[in-house]
Amino acid sequence: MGMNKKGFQVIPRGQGGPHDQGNSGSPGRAPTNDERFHALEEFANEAMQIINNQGEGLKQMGGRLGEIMFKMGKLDEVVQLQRIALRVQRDRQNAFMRTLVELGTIDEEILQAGFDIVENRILPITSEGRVNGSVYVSRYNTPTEMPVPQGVNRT
Amino acid sequence: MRLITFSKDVKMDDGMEPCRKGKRYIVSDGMFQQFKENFADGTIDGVFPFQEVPEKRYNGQDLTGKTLLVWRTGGMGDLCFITPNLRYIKETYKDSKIHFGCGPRFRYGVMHHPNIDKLVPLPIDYELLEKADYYLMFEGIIENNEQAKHTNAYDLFEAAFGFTGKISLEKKRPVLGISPDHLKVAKKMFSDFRKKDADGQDIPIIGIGLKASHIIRSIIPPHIHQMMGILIQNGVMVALIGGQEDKDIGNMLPLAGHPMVLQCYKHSKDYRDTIAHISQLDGLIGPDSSPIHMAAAFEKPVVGVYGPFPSALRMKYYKNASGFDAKPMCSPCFLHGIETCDYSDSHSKEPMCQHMHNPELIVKEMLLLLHYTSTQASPQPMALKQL
Repeated sequence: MGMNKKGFQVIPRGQGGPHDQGNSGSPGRAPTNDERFHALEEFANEAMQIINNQGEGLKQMGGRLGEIMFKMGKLDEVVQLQRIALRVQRDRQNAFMRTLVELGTIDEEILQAGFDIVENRILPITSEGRVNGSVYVSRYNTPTEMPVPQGVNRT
Repeated sequence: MRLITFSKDVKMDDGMEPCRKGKRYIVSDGMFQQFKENFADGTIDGVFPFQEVPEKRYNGQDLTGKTLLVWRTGGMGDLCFITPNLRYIKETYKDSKIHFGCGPRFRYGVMHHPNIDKLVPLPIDYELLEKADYYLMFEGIIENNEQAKHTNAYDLFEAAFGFTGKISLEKKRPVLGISPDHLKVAKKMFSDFRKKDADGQDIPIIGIGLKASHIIRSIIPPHIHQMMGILIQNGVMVALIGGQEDKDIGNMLPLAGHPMVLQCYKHSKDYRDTIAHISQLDGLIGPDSSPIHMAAAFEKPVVGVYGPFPSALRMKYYKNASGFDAKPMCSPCFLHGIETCDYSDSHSKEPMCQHMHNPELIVKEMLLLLHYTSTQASPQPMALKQL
């Protein structure tokens, strides 16, 4: 449990903090994934409008982002932040995240956790833009003596 | 679904009986929307709810001496999924009759089907439903169905017919008919094109399906080009499979004019040509689109290239088939009809998953299938040469 620079209390999930309750405010009901993503989608659309205006625009966005993060829980929001950043502009993803840290909206620790998650293959594209994933081949009713070529992952 | 009437006779397609003024026709919501957009105001003068007729809705009843009306707009691959059930009906129920309805473009793909007694146009004349003993429609069975995300398409359609567990695994494959005239033309075209190797044996011809109906499921053109090059380098001939609508892709392929390449798509006016072409191939590589299902109907060795959803949902029952599944962390997304996803390239619109495939491995797999399934004495698997 701790406080980030903006004074938001970060409480691990499952310990009765605000983000264990739903956005609807109903005690005991965590927001569904659809609700989470819908709220972040709306935010992303707003962000896309204002991100091109640096400075003041980002400050405005930072406040709203902080509110969402506080309600939705630490781990998910970092993952979703990455997704939003991808939607906004890929090449400015890192700058976007860094700016949020500078604004004090998210902790450096959370930011690093987000990058760790990406690198550990939670999202399809890493912070450097590499694709996470593999290709597999499945064989259907083929001769059993067929060898598997080198470089092919079999299911 | 709804019933509509027209204020005048409306011609839907050349060679088809027009819709008659005042008669009731059954249309899907999508078709209704298209009519509203394409017809002048007032052309549709009546819209009524379509009430299901529960006692006529088919669910495995005995069809001996009965008529079943079946319809789905398309696409051609989806119509292939229906066909094993039609064969089962004909093999099981004596004197059964099947009346089959589909969209205008797709009727050419089922025109010579051995199990269809009568092809009927869409929209479905309500009188046909009244006259039939049973009916079954398949609009939305894949598109709006959560079950489609984890159930093989053939199993889905089999369940809709009420035939679950009744069709043997070897018969859960598409059934197609070939137009004799189109087959004759295709045989000549391939015969004129095919060359022989140094031992006097026919050089195999491998088809490559050019495009799926949507870019998210299509093999990217650079990979098609690479596969063509690898096949040619290994002494294998290539047939580019598709239709007139694939000319833009064909024009992007530098090897399209190579002497070892047959541009079948240029000679394909409708699905009768495509089916005939595929019947002449020795194997096919393709995206999730009708050519791989057509190739499976002829039990050709087939390699499917998949991204948004697993190949098993389509290819599981095919014989001598392999499916390449790209699995980025966003998969499976089950995006099927939209043009782009969140991770599509902003310029080409190609999805990231399609970029993950390795053309050399796909060709390797095709050549292995060819070697291990060939009925004629074949040489050792060809070593892949460097481009």
